[in-house]
Amino acid sequence: MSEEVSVQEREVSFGRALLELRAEDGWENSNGAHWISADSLDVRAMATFMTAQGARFMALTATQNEDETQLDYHWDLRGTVLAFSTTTHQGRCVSFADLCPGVDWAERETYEYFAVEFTGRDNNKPLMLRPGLEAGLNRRQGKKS
Amino acid sequence: MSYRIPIGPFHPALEEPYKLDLVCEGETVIGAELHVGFNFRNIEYLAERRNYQQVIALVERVCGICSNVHSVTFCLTVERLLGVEVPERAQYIRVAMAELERLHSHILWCGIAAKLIGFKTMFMSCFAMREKVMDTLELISGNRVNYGMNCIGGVVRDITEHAMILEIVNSIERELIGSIIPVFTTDSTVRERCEGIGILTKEQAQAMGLVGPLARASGVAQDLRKDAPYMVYDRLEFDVPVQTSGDVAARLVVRALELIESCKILRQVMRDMPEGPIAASTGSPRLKVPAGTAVARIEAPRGEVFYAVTSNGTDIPQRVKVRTPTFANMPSMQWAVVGAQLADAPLIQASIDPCYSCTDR
Repeated sequence: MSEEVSVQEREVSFGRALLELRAEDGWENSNGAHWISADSLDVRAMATFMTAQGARFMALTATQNEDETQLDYHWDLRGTVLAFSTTTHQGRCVSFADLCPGVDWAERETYEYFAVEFTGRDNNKPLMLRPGLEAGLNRRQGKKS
Repeated sequence: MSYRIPIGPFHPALEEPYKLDLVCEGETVIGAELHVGFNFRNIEYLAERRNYQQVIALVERVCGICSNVHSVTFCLTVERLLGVEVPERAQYIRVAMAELERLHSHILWCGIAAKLIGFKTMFMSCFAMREKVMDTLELISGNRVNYGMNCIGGVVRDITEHAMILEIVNSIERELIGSIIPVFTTDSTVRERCEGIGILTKEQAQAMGLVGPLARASGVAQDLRKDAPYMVYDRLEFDVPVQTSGDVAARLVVRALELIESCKILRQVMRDMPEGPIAASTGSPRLKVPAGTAVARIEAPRGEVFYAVTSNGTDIPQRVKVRTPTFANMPSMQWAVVGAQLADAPLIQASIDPCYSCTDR
């Protein structure tokens, strides 16, 4: 996904047709992954759909985008990398650690580095940082994407 | 009545710091809580302050054992952004380094497992064999760890001592087949110590997104060298050992058999490596990389290593994301030890082959 492609205001419809990876559905095949972006991505629907397809959650990449944070969820589906991009709203995103345990540490880490608050989590214990340290270690003031 | 046993951060079984709080009833573990972050260096943040050449050296320090995997995966992402075609010979050399690194990692792990099982003679045998692998890595790269072999566009050193490397690989394979594999797969003491403990089912492995030998020991037949081949793995013949019992014994068997497969791959690499350049030209050392994001992943000894690199068009990356295999595998420890005897807990956690330097980055 090129930097110029911003997160789109698009509804991603999680059905079998989505896995045909068609450009008209918003997919872009670029630099090692298929990318789709949506401003208000339903991450819980994504997790339910992807795990039902037998996909494996790989990684969550957070990138500071001014006051918000771009979140790229990477999944492996039978050898293909699928990346779902979205952005936080007022620094928040919904957690899906209860649906997919593999994302638990990724969400905790992202909170610590970028102060992204994942709502609906049971476990908010520090992962990499020691208790008492402020979240958002890697956020920078006035940083643009 | 339950009681809590804190183990670590300096651990009796492993050289790296982490903490495990075990909740026990009698001698049975009923819960576990992991604490990591003792090796946290914020390498991702540091990478956003160095140019692409400097980041190669930086990410090679993520891990002391699979250092080459990190630098080559980072190079792959940048090569994708640049549209650089890596010469064939360089790709073969990268495979040779990757498989030697797998031998190094797995033999080291077999030695540690033998020590924990109480089989000190096997520990010594494994570490003596590991020396041969490290000598080979030194022969190729000039270094025993942190090899400095990769550059954007290829590798910096050629392999010239094919016959000597083949001789070492054959000698390692003879020793593996003659002593180490029979011990780990058939010895009754080892089997009794390892069978039926630390079980992770296939369903648990899939739910947690486990990778590498840990997943393959639980019946998940995934290996990026087959599923999403990179470099020249699609031209090489090798098998992916899979076990279904999901216990410590299965992890031993998978890694032991993978050693043989790595020897098989190394022989093919030495036989088929074509003549030609070892690196593509990328121009200035302070190269500017076109804006965009690229991802790459490699089957490291412990499983999938994943990198995502975003460039903003300058000579310094905007974002470098590193997801190491232990980061994906380690949370499963909290399931693997539940129901186990306290005395088995060190062996179970070592059977995951954790790397906290990788996890914490």
